[in-house]
Amino acid sequence: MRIERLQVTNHERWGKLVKTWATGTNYLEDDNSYPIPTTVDEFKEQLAKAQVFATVPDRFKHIKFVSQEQDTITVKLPPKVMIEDSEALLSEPGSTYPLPPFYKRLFNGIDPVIPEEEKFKVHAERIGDYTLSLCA
Amino acid sequence: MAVQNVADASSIRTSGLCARDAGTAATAPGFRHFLGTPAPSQRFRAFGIDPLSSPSHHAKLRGLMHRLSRRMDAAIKWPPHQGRSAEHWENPFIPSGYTYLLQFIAHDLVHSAIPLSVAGGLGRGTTNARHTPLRLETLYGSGPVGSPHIYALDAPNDDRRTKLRLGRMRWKENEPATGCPFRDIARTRAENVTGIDRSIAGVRVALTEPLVADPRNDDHAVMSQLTALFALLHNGLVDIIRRQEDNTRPNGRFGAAYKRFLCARGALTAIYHNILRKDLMRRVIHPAIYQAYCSPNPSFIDCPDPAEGCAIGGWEIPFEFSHGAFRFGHAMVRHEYRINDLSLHDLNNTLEKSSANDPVNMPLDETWMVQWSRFFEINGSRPNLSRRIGPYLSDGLGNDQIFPAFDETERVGLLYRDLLGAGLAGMWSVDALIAEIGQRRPHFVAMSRLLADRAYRVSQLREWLAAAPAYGALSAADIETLSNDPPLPFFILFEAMQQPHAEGLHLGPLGSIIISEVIFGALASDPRLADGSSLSERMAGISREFYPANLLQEIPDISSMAQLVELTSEIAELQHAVPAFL
Repeated sequence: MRIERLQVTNHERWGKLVKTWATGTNYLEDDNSYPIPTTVDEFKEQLAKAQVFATVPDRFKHIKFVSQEQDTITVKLPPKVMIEDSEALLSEPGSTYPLPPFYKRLFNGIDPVIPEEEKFKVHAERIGDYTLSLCA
Repeated sequence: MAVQNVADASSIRTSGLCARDAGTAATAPGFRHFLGTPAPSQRFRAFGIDPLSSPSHHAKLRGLMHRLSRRMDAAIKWPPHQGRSAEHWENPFIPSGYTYLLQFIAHDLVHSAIPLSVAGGLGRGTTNARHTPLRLETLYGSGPVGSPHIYALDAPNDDRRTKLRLGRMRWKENEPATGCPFRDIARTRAENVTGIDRSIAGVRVALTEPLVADPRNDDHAVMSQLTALFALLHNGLVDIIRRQEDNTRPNGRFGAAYKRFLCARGALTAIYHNILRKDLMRRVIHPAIYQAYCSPNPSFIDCPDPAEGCAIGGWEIPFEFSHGAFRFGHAMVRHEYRINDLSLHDLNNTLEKSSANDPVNMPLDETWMVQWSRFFEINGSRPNLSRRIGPYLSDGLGNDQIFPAFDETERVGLLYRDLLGAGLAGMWSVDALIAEIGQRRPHFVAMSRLLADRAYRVSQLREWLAAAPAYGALSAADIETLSNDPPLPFFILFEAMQQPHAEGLHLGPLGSIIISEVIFGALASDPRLADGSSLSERMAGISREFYPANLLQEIPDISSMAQLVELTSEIAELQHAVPAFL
């Protein structure tokens, strides 16, 4: 059984919500306030307020925010089980590497195709990128 | 208790047939009201004011519907159900194929130029152009003469058009030298017609134009695949008929083409009707209401003109169906779909896949070729299951690219459009509608405490509305007006969730009555169905309208979507298709 991922519908709004949490400035330009949530329920409420429309699987019971500093290397290690799950998924015959829809815009509107022989290479590159890029 | 309170519900002034005369309600061509036009006192109100007679009040209505839609963003905590292998929010009795069959039916009942919510009021382009309901106009358009662009030439040496056009699918990486199979709807480029080229030069041609009778049948990938399924079956029926034709007479080919088309269309329409009656409606309608309507000649309460019976001449769709009860299908949409053995797509991707939204990625590639055992239960398959029906929509229906904000509330998504459209249509209030039905069918109302006991209904609504204050921040005044006068599409979802023994697995009685009256009413208007004959008898009758013998004899009794898919796979020779069809 595949492990369900958190799915975001409106990626720009999600990014603006993250920027709002990080800076304290309301990037969503609405009348709501967005203090950093302390529970998964508060997190879902803020996703709804910001009209992010994200599907949060029931398996999430806790939430942790990590504020990163410029002079500290922060390596966020993904759960071992998630890496194994995505590797198993990519190993299935005919499976494709999933990319968020906004990547298509960067590819001139064409659905990006990750060739079969490149799937695991791209998987490793993306994990590495997200671990080090400080989300900014 | 429930029976006693029918009287309470009925104490609201009921209209009988005179309501139609009493109303000053604006309407739109092709639309009418369920059970006649409600009197002003019987219409939905927000904060006690009728939006139809007070356009200056619309800003308050928009604000209220905006906040209600946000309350409905809170996920429903469903009780457990019998389907052990299903998630608690899934409906083990309704596979997801039925969600899109419902959308297809909606297209076969209503065709208006602009949503009422976006138009902002009646009479601004909200005309329903569909006048012959459930006759597959959404698939066939005006036929080969009226809509030639959707029909293919029959054969290289025969320039008649009796088959529906299909288009080749695409392989993402390696295009086979022999060409891909015809598994997508037909699509074409239009830069030489419009002067607008959305192609990527030297890389991809933009197929901006779906060659289908109803452009809404290319709203998204599953919808266009369902349309292709019906087209494949029509074309297979044409082949079956053609094989048995005698066209040796002079001018035989000319007349034969029309007879062949009409016979195949009649056969597919009969199969479609049989499925609606015996499969789809049995799944979505409350069992007691289904029993009352599923016979060939049920007794209807919603006859626009009792003197003419429920005939279809000048047929109009009730707002309470199109902008009220039938919106329940939106709650059945999942957040992701297993399309076939190889691909899983989330709802956002699925909604985007159309010629209008994504022309350079057309035709659909192999990851979008629907394997129908993933959408209907076929030979023990485990299909995608629809969501349980309640006041909550999948997150993908909040997509701000597909359903952007269009007014001062800045609210994105489909739900707000549904609620606002209902508020602007001048529909019956839930209270008055229950009272009116209670006058005509007291036992329908008596079976449900939620319908029969107004105080109970209001208390249940109030409790639910107040239960998640972080969602929508409904004020006390909001909760008061919404619990006393809920918008109809919201109440239909609430009823489905709240009804004992339904709990989101099918509609409650009120939603079931409105939908049964319209759909069984449209089916009853087909003279081929009125005598209660079996499908095979109807097929024989259809064939004999055009031929001396029964050319449809080999068509089995099809009474479910699973059987339709299996028949299509057989006559279109897709049993071993790659990508898999079954």
